[in-house]
Amino acid sequence: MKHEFLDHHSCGHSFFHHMHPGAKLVMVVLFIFTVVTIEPGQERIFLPFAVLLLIGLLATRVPILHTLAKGLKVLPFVLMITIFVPFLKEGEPVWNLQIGPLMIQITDEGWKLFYNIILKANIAIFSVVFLNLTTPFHHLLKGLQSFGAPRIITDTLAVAYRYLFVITDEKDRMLLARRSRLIHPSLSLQWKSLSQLIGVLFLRSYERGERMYQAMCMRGFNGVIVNLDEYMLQKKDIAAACLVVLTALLLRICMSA
Amino acid sequence: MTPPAVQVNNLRFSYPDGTPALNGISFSIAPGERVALVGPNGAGKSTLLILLGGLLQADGAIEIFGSSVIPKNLHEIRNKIGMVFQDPDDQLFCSTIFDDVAFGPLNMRRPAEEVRQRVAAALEQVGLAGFEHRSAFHLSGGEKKRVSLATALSMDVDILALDEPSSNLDPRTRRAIIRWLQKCNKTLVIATHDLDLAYETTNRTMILQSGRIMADGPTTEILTNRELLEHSNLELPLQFQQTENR
Ligand SMILES: Nc1ncnc2c1ncn2[C@@H]1O[C@H](COP(=O)(O)OP(=O)(O)O)[C@@H](O)[C@H]1O
Ligand SMILES: [Mg+2]
Repeated sequence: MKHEFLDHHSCGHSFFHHMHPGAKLVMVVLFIFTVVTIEPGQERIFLPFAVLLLIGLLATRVPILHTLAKGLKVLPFVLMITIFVPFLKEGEPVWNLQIGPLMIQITDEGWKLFYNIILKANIAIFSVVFLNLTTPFHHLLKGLQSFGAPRIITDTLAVAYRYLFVITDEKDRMLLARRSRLIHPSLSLQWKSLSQLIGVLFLRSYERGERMYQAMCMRGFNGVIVNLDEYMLQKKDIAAACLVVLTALLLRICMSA
Repeated sequence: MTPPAVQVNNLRFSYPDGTPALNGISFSIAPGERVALVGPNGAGKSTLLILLGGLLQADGAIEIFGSSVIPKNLHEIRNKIGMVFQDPDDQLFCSTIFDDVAFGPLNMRRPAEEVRQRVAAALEQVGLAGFEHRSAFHLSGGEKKRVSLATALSMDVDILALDEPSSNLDPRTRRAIIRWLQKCNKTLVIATHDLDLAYETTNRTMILQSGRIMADGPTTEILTNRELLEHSNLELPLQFQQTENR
């Protein structure tokens, strides 16, 4: 069965694809940090950051439409959270609507804050999309590891990610088998068979875990997963991360002065 | 005199829930021999393979090239016998093919350069050179099976134990695996109920039923003996069924 993989383009070739995941992670986080501290009313500062980000996204050589589609999928969630901000923030009213005893009001401050949050959110979202497009999940975990994230957590996440799709496939097959046998079932029967299905899925995953462990033992596993460090932190990685972060800081300081 | 590759004496095993799986099994396999382990579902084939690898504790004695399969020797044993499990998804648990194939050699503390060479060589042997950086979930069923083989080959083992190597494969991939097994010059133990595969790839066959060995002999004799096979709830390999009907 086919899935839309989270890291569809992440195995491409560009400078950023080959960058050390740890350096890339720091770069993206600091970049986001400089942007989210921009205060309402200073929206013109966003423009150079947006341009910088766009250059970065183009440099990944991933089709820009794919990138846009990926980022815009997250936007509705941001809107859902921020949609009430213009109405709730107190300040100078710019728009009123009286419905009986209820008064709906948009304030100038509220509107500016809303606008500010949406811009920040977009920059943050596309920065993360940038990270996602250039970094396979397991490299991201290696990046986290190089900052001292506990092995037990990164290893668990790696295995969870590996088996996410295996278990999803198993679930799909079982649902198909269930659908082909339950014809016009009553509601109680549906619930009963669903709960059984979940139980079976759990048991199967448990058994798979056991077989996996046997397969590991067969190859000499003794408690610690050994990895070859393919990624060495190189001077050009540090240089690139510093360059981006310094540019962002400089822009931020100059423009708000 | 070189010791046998596998020596099993009076092996008995029951699962913790009480299910008896093996009821006193003895046999010996010489180095270079190619053995098929056939039998109906639940006969105990998979259990026997798992015990050969020392993954569970059983009553009786198992020796691999003269060393007893006991906890103290497991490290050594696993350098000698490699297992290919039925479901490749159980065996390929890493993020990349490279990590999967390198898993064994890295656990054996081989130096980095040697590990890279072994991985490249193992993938080359199964016809998947250059697959190092792919993920298992992007592969087809047949490719996964071949990578599973590579994970055992990179350990440089002398004995390969395979559980149902042809299950869930389309005919072409199955044929490729058969060809591969025919060329492989390691000691083979193949648990299967694909009797045609057994016929084409092995020279000795053991029939297992209800945890006992019902027959043990040359593959050409056992797998053409209709009476014996039917008595063990098995059928003649398809290729002989067709010639008889003509
Ligand atoms: N994990 C387990 N727990 C309990 N019983 C098991 C387990 N695995 C297998 N069995 C039982 O042991 C017997 C032998 O199984 P198995 O070795 O898997 O047979 P085969 O591979 O020949 O089909 C069967 O009766 C099976 O039900
Ligand atoms: Mg089995």
